[in-house]
Amino acid sequence: MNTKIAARSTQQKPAAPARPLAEAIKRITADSSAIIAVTTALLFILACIFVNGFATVTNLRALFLSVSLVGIAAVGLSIITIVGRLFALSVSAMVAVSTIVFASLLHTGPWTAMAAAVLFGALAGAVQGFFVGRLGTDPIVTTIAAAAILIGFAQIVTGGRNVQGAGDASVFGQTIFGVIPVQVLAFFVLTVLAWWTHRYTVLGRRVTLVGLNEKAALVSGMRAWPVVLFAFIASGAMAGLAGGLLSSESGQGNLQLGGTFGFDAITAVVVGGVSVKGGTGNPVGAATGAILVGLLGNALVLLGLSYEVQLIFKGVLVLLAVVATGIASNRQSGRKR
Amino acid sequence: MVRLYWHFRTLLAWSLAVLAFIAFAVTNPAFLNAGNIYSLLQSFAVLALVATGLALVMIAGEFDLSIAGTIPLAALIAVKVGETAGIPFGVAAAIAIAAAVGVLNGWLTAHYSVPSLAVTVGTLVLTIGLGFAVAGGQIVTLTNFEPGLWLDQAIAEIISPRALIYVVLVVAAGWLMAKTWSGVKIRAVGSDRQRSSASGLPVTRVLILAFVISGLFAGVTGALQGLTLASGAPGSDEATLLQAVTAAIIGGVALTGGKGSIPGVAAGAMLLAVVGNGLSLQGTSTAIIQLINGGILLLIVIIDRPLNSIVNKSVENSMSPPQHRVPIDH
Repeated sequence: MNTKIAARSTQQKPAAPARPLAEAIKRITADSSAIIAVTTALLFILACIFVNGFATVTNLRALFLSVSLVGIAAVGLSIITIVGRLFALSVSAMVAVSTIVFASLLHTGPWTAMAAAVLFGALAGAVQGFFVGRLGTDPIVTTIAAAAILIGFAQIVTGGRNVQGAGDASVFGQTIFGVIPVQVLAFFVLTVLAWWTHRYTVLGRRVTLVGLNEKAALVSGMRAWPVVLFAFIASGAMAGLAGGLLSSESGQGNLQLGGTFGFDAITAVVVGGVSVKGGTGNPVGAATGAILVGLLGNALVLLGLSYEVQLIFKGVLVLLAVVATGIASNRQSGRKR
Repeated sequence: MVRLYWHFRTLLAWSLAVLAFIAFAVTNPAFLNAGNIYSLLQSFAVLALVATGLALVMIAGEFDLSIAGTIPLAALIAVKVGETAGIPFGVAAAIAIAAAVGVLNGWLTAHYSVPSLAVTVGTLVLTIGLGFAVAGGQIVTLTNFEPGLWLDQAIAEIISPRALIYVVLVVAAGWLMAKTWSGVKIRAVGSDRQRSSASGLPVTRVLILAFVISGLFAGVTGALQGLTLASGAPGSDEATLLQAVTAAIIGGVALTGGKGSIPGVAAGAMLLAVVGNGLSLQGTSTAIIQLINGGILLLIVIIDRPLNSIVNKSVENSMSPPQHRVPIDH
C-alpha cells in the first residue's frame, strides 16, 4: 500500500521510451478507462452498422437523453469512489427527494427551484461527508442510514403523495441549436468540468492522493477529511441537479422517481474503470461507463430483447468490469513487489 | 479486556431490547397480547436470520448487498417452481439458487481480491434481473395455500413453525461461530487476511463459506416468505437489508471485520423488532419507523468509533510487556 505512490510516480516518467508505439499501447492497456472508451466506441460503431434504427438522429438523441441524468449522478459518485470512500448508497434517495424539492418550489421559477434542488443535494452530501470524513464513519452504513432518513422525512412531509409543480419548467426541456437537449449539455459540461478539476487542479490531485494513500497524504501534511467532505458535497450537488432535471421533465416530484439511479450510477462507475479501492480512474470513465451501459440497453431494446434481459446483462457487465479491474490492479501490485 | 468489551456489547444490546420491551409493555397494555407477541416474534425471526447471515460476512471482513435481491428472487422461484413441480422442489430450487449466488459472491471476492461491495452490487443487479425474468412480467401466485398456512400457524399462540425454523438456523450459526473451527477461521480471516493466509488458512474457502451461509439464509427467508404470502414480485428488498445491517451493527459487529457475536446480532434484531412493533402498535407510520431505524444506525456508527478506540487503548495499556509483532515477508 505504502509503495503505491512511489511506484506510480516512477511509472509516470519512464526514461525515453525506445519504441513509442509499443509504450503507448502498453500505457493504454494498463489504463482501464481507456479500455472502456475504446470498447464503447467499438460498440457504437458495431451498433451503427448492425442494429436497425440505431443510427438515426431521434434514436441517438433518445439514447443520450436517457443516459445524461444517470451520467450526471455517476460523475458525482465517481468523486466519492476516487477519494476512497467506496460508494454512496444514498444517490437514489437524494435524487428522489430533490425531485420533490424542485417540484414544490417550481412556483418560484424554474431557476430558483433548480438552485434549491442543487443546494439541497449539496447540503445532504455535506452532512454525510462530515460524518464519513470528520467522524470517520463507514461510508456504506452512513449512506444507507442517510437514505433511510431522507426517504422517511420526505414520506412524512409529502404524505407519500405525488407533488405537482405549479410553474413552467420548459427552460430545461429545450434543445440548444435544435439538436442538443439541455440535460445532455449539462451532462457534457459537468463531465468536462469534473475531468478538468480532477486532472489539472490541486483539489483534484488531493482527491486522488487521499484515495490512493491516506497515510501518505497525512504524512505530507494534508488532512483527508476536508477533501472527503468536498467529494460528498460535489456528489450530492450533482445528484440534486440530476433530480431537478428529472423533475423538470414532468413538473412532478415523488419518491418513486429516480429509483434506479443509485445502482445505475454505481454500475456506470464500476464499468467506467474507477477502482473501488480508490485513487485510480477518473470522472470521464464514469461518464463513459454510463454511456456504455445506456448504449447496450438501447441496442438490446432495438434488437427486441426485454427489460429483464437488459438487467441481467447489466449485472454480468458489472461483474466482468469488477473482475477486470481486480485483475489489472493485482497485476500492478504484483509488479511492484 | 477485549473479550469483556464485546460481551458487554452483547449485554448492552440485550438490555436495550429488554428495556424497550418493558417500556412498551408498561405504556401499552395491548403490547403483551398473544397476537402481538406472535407478530413481534415473526418480524424478529426474519430479521435475526437475515442479519445473522450478513453478520457472518461482515465478521469475515466483507459485505453482502446482494441479499436485497436474493430474498425476492428466492420467493419468486419457490412460488413459480412450487406451482408446477411441487412445493418441496420449489423451496429446494430457491435455496439452491441463493447458495449459488453466495458461491459466486465469495469466489469472485476472494479469487480476484476485489471489494465484495462492488461484486455484490453486480450480483444484486443480476438477481433483480433474474427475478424479472422468472416473473416474466406477471404476478406469480401459488394456488396451494396449505404449506403457507401450516408455516404460519401459531404454536402456543405466540410462535409459528416458520419463526422456529429461522431461530434454529440462527442458533446453528451461533454454534458455528462460537464452537467450531470454521467460526474461528471466519473470524481470523476477518481480523487480518494477510496473516491468515500466511498462516495457511484457506482464505478463499472461508470467504465462500461466509457468503454461502449469507445467501442460504436470505434464500430460506425468501422462499418461506413466498410460500406464506403465496405470491412473489420481482424487485429488491432494501428495507430488510437496512434493518439487517442495523441489527448487526447494534449487536457489535464491526465493519472492519473480525468482531461481533451472533447473540449480539440476535439482540440487535430483537431491539429493532420490539421498537418497530411497539411503534406501529401505537399507530406510528412505517415512514417514521424507517426514519428511526436510520437514526439508530447513524447514532451507532458515530459512537462506535470513539468507544472502539478507548477499548483498544486500554487493551494496549494493559498488555505488558508490549508484544512486538514480527513482520511477515511477502
